[in-house]
Amino acid sequence: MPESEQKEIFYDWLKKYKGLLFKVVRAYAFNLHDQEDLFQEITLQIWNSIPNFRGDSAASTWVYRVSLYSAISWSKKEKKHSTGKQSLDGVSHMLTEISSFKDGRVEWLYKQIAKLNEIDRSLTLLLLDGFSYKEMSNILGISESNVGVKINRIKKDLIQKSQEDFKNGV
Amino acid sequence: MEFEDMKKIWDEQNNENIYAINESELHRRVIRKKNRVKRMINKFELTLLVAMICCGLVTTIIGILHNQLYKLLDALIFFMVAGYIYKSRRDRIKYEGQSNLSLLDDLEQTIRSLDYHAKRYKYFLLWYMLPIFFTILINATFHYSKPWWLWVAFVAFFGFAYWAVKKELRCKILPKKEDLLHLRSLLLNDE
Repeated sequence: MPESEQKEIFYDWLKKYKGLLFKVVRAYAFNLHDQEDLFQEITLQIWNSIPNFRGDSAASTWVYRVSLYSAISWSKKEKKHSTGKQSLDGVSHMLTEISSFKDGRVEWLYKQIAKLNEIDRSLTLLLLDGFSYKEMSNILGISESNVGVKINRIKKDLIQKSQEDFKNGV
Repeated sequence: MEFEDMKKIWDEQNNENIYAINESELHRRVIRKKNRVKRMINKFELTLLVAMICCGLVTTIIGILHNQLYKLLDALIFFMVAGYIYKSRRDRIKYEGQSNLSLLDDLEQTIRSLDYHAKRYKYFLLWYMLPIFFTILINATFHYSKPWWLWVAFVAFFGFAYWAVKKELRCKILPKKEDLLHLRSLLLNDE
């Protein structure tokens, strides 16, 4: 694939799915420096994945899958290198936080997601973004029944936690 | 709060711009990082390949010029190792171009790739060090005049190489594989 075509697809996907990427970034990285690092990693993997995309699934599903896998791999790596890290380049920033969420409960949701293990985090993001069990099963490579069991557990835990937290005025 | 409420709250962020992207900076970094990794791997593989071919050629020329036919055996070993490196490189490039379908596929592929690297490390002594060792041994058999400390240095070098390879395997590759196996079990449990 010529680089010009790859670049065109890349920017098209970036424009269409940046909201999706930000959600993944926010669920797996917890400060701006790490978010920028993860965003860079995800975009690199998306760039590399473009020649392999054959259109068997929707582009959004493809981008989500690549993003989740990159985030999981990144978070495994980051656990070992979380201290003494230098700034990425020290010169210009690629990602700037320009505002915060209007509804504070979004932050609460991200905090709950952050407490889950890497796989449950992916499932929760997919669930909240309205993916069906079948799509989740395809993205993750596990059976629909397995997805169902996990989702039920995650939903139950989230509802229970929200009842506890909001009852206590958190 | 019910789950449907959480979903509504979640969807609201789609209309909010939390981050701004510096696109030119992003493109610069993506291309730079991609090229850096590619360059590093290519450099490593090609250096080894060229080194083995050069060693093979030099050994062949010396063998023919000095009429030392045993040197041709050394050369043959070098060429065989070069062939093995070339095949590994081709397999890697072919493997990289494969399209992945799911997270589990990605995990399985990465685990397989780590297994492949682990195997390469385990057999490092066999594939890379043994040819050199045989060369030295063959030379030692035909030339008795080398000082004793040179042989000690060779043995020490092999010892160090063995230690370094084992350390890399134990400290980097195996823990990474364990992490991935843990992820895979997280993904597959509740089945």
